[in-house]
Amino acid sequence: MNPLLTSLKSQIKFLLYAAFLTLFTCAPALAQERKVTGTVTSADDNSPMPGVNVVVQGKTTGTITDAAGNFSITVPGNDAVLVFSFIGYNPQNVTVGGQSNLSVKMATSATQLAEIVVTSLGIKRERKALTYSAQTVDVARLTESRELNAINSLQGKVAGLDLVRSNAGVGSASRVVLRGNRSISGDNQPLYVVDGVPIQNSMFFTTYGEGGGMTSSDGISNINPDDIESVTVLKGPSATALYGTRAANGAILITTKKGTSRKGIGVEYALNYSVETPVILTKFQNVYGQGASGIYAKNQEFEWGPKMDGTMVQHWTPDVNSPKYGTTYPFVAHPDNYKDFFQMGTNLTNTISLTNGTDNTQVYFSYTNTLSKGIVEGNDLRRNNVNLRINSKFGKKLSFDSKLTYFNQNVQNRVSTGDDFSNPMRAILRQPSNISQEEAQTFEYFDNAGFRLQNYWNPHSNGGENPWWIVNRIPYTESRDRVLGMASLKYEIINGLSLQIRSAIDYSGDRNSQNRYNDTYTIADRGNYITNSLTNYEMNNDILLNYNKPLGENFSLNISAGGNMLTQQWYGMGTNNTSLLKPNLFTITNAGRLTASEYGATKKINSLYGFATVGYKNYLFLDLTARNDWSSTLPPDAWSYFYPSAGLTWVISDMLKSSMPSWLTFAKLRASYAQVGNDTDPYQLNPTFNFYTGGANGYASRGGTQPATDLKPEITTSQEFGGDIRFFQNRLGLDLTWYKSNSKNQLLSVNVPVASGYYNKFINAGNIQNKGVELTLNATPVKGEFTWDLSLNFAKNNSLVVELAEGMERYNLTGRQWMTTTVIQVGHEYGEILTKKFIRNAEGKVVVNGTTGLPLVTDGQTEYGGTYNPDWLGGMTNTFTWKDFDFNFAIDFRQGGVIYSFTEANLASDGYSDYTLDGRDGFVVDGVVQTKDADGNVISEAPNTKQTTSEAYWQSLGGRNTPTGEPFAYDASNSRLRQAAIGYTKRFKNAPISALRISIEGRNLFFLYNNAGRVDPNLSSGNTNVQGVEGFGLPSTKSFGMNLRVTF
Amino acid sequence: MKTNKFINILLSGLLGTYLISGCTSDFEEINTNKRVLAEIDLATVGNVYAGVQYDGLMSGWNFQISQNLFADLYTQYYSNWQTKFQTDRHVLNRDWLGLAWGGFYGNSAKNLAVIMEKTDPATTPGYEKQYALAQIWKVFIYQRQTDYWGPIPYTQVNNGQNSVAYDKQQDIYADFWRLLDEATTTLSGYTGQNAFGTNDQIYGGSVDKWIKFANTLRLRVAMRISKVDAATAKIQAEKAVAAGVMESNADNAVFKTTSGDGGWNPLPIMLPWNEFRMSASMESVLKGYNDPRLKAYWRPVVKNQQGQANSDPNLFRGMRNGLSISQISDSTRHYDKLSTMSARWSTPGNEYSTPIEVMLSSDAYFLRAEGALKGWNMGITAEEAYNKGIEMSLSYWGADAATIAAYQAGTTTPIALDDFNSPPMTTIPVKFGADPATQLEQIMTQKWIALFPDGWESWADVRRTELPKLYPIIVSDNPDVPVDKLMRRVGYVPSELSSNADAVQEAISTMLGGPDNAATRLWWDPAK
Repeated sequence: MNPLLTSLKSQIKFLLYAAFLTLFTCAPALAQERKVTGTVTSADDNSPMPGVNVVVQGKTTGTITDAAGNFSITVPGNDAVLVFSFIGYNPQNVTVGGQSNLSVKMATSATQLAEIVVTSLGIKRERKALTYSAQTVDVARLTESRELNAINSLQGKVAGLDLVRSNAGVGSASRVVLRGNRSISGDNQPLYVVDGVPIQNSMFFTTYGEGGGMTSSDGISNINPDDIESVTVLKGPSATALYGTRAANGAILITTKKGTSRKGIGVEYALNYSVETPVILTKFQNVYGQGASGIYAKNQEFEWGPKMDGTMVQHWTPDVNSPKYGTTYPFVAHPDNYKDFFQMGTNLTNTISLTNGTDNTQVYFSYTNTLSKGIVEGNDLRRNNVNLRINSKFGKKLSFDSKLTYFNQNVQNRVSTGDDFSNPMRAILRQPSNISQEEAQTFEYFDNAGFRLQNYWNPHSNGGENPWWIVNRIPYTESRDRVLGMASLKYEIINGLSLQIRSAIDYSGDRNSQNRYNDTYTIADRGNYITNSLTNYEMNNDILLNYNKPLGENFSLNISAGGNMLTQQWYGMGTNNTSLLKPNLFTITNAGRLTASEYGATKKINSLYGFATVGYKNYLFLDLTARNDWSSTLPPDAWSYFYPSAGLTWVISDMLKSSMPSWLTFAKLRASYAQVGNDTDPYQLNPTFNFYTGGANGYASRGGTQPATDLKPEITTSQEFGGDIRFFQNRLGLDLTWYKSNSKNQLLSVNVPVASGYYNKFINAGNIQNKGVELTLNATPVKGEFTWDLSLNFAKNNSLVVELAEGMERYNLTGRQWMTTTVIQVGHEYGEILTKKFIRNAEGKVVVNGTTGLPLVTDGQTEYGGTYNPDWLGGMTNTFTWKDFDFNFAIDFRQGGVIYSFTEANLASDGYSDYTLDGRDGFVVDGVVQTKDADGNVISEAPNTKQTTSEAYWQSLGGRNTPTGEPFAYDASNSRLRQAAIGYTKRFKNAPISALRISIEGRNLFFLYNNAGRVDPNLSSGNTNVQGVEGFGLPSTKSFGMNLRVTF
Repeated sequence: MKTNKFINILLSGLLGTYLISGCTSDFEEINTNKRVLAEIDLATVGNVYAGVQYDGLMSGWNFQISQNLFADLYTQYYSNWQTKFQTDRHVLNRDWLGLAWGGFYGNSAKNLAVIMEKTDPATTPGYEKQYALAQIWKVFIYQRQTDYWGPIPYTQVNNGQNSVAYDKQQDIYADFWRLLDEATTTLSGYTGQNAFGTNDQIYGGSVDKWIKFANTLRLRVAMRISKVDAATAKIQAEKAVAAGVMESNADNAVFKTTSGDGGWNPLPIMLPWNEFRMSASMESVLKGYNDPRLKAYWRPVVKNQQGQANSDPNLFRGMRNGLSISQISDSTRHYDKLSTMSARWSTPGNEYSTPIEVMLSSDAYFLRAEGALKGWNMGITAEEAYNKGIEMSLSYWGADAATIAAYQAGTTTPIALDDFNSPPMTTIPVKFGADPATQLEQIMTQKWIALFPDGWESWADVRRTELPKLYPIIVSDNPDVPVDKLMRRVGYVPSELSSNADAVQEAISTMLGGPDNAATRLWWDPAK
């Protein structure tokens, strides 16, 4: 057996012991009764099993084993039969006979081991009793086929999980959406919960759309994949009603490893090394070089020049001291310029973990060091994760659990995204083909006065820079320190009744800075130094009272009540230091002009909640939950809001038992209904007047948002129906879910006519509906020495904007971007894109301007241009095992949706794209010319005959400022081989090494198909609700790596 | 609600009421942002006024998007060098205009209303001076706004509603008289006093100076409507002159820049972006007149036509307006071979020291010259006023008396330019002519030079008088406004068309007098 699995199993045992404290009260005493003691151990590794149910068959008498696996029970007589049961193990019936000390071994039931899931508040439950969909992810894959952001490993694995990565180089953030976008102004991302405690997933900077800027790491990437024991995805609010507000978009529950009670110290070492290379999809023309109108110009940023035929042309360098200054060089293409800009990325991770434990105290410690080098020069990441977990029992009643995690990360040269002038992609994509990478790499020189200047073909360009100058002379660095701490005490008041008190903090400190050297264009003279620092603090204190008791033979009851106090606090400061007194000395005291900003907020939510599960004959379960939150962000009369949920599960197979046909292993139906409330951000209720520097005494200005004094909490209501059916001893299983959710009273900042005195105001409005189905199919087509496991998932979500506000038909998710505006409209899907399009006549022909021969386009971004939502998402994982070898590969699918390429809009306009070759010497746009009367009515139409050129055509459609989106929109459907790995595991007996595993893996290997062709539709510039547009993104990468794991 | 309460009670009973009642006591405190002001008190009104003065000039980050890419090009002070911009080819970029619109209403108009609400004499006696200054500034900034679009929201501004009705331009202009009457009446009771002190970055709070400003503004507003309502224009203009308009450069309204988040001059920030250069119209006229303002406004080219570093202090070059992307990209028109603005603006760091011209005494004289030509009683002849206007402008830009005298007597005329075989922009000299048509062209041409760099006001004059006789643009990408036609207004903006749709459609159909495009003439600009 896989050593990982073994350790997992024993840990699960322990956790279950902690989670399921069951009490069987005494039945009336009978004659001949006597006491029997014994020990229960695991058949796999002989470890003692705590928490095993021991019941006298036919009676209500029972007990559970203690931490050492020991039990003591009074039996009615020698013919008594004891039933031992434990989740994940085959039940055992033992006839007592004359024995007074029993030794019972329990064997795992492979089919049931995975059936334990972590649910809200960290309670582990049998999957069969769940009234909602919860998908558990294979954690072994998180550490092999490794991603810097562990959450990326979920792509394609979970039905209904839509993941888009931002492309800011190593350690970038990702956007995860479960079952569609519900919220208009929220981020729509799930809540991450680690060991029962929510953590922050905040980002310092996030950007969107074509504009781009700095996009930093997210919070979830700070979790060390090596510490993760299990991941469970709770998709709907029904699953997470108990996490309240923050889990309205679902929750991803992560359980980290704990120490085990064992003999000797357990040591594990793991090494991962991988390399990554860019997947280049952009296609360049490489025929015509730098210039305009077919004429070479050394300072041009276009490729509308003459053919690169080897003619000698003037060298571009502005450095008068350069030997090349004023000389000529052959005008030839360098088709690999783009490829040559990148380097091979590498990723090295070393992890060591130690576990040790006695019956009373268990310790787990791990340290992971990650060194990562991105594909852009200088883009490095260094990361340290330290994790210490201590569990202890004080006597029989009191147990203690604690964790301290420290995370530290430094990223050098984080790559800016989109149209940010510091984004090197913006520069390299538009480096003329006739300028070789070798030449461009001389990115600076010193003038006679000793000033450092940029060596660029168009000095002082507005928006152009030498790409090598950007990576070397506009470094953006960021660092984060984060501490997660948790301590919990659990006291068993009486058997079955326990009280848990827990405190957890999540503190992170971010710092980042950008140094812009003197002669960075359009920025500032003498350089510019930008700094930011932010601290984020969150504290959760909670209390939970749990009572778990069978009620007679047929009923069971598990009831809990608790409360939580959440405090969130953030504080940030930023400085912008321009006109540095001493050029290129990057410190605040050197600022010629200093502007500073300061921001921060505090928020509190207090909650009380309760939940109960009533079981009937172990096949019918009713869940009821109730929660009340008090949020400081709402007006006093709306501080408090209540929301309930109810769910029902019917395990048909457990009801029918032996009358089930043999091929049907398991069948269950479930239904649930839930509500989740949501608050808003701090400081939305009062009018504000900003005060800032300017003039002699400062300027004051009223804030642009009309305060909302009568806000109500937002409420999402969801319903879910599902079934789980398995055949042939679990060789084939199917899980189907239908859901519907409606988010109402959304807290929106809506645009109002600015002449009203405000740009926008806060309102409660809207009803966003998401309906969909999710399907998961698991099969083991071949089982034996050679085993083939197959897992398929499929999800389809339809969103509908049912209502916005009175008189409001449309809402802009953002302001206008260069090429697109993302909106929601009543009666439409969430997340539509508006853009400029060609003007067409009734027959759909493009209308052409008769004097220029160029197509006419709409005035502004007013035309519907598709939505960014996929039609459906799918994934497939195949795992093969043969003896000590295993092999797996995963494919994911994303069908439908649109992606706009701002990159192409610019590459086309500037003559770089391959299709700009057509019509360079003139062509006639296929369209019609209209003649209009004075009132603007079309009088006549004639085919266009006026010739234009590729240059004029693409310059009129593309470009940075007001491109027409239509020619640059692509179908985002794609499928890709997400991962493939082959592994070998060897276990040793009586050797210093107990297990060894070696694997090699590849990630993001290739597209099976990519309808977008020139762009990777799974990348975006940031993780906001504005998606479906790409701008000067880094290419995605494919990686190959090896893993070594040694267990001592 | 009942269940809600029941559960509350139940849970409270279980876990202790301290969790709820005890822990919401600090909620209001927590949810108060202490980094902003909760209200504007009378001590802070001056800071709001300071901000409104700056924002009202559409300065700062709003300058490019509202003035430089529109009015400044349409009056041909500059030509566009940025290949990615198309407004110089008459393209009505409503997205950019949206920022101009929002910059006005979202900052100046809003905060001005806050000041007037706080200092309203009806409710807050003692702030009459300040209220009057706000009234004058209201006329100044709203005139600019309505002269861009035509009908705009005016009376309903700051209503806090989801819809804001528009007002007709003639109604807005009619209200300007009321505001100016009230303000000057009020201020006449406070002569010699100070209002707003250093928060007034134009006159340091001098009531006397603001009275002259108000009178000059009255003259400017009067002249604007002279084509459409000559009778009112005459009455108001004569009233203004009688009350005393600006007469020397000491009266000039010039905004003092500072180095805060606000308060700086946007031109020095923008010039390194190399997006605009001297226009051919400027080149033809200033060179033809040997105008000393050529060097005051512009800088010699960095490179000559041969591409060599230029050391000739007299080598200036402009570029025609409305060039296609390829024409701009032509290496003979590289920005280094064109004149940028003079060191006054193009020296790095000058954004915090170079002042912003708001309204100058030269403007007052040219208005009086034009009025005198119309036969209005301007207290001065047209020729005297014309020469005084030239004198004021030249001396403001540093010329001595002898230079001024020589200039006034100048008989040279604008020159032809090589590029695009451009003829002279016009044929008139500086020396005041004999016939009224020549005189008017001379007055308007000199006023156009003197108003630089205030394209906002200058474009209004160009529309009203079709003077000076600017070069046609080379390429128009807007079928509504061909190369030889003037841009007559700008179009309504996307945010209005979506969030204030009913009101703006009402304005288009009942107030504008034409389609919502750049060819439709404003109320004060009838086609004769």
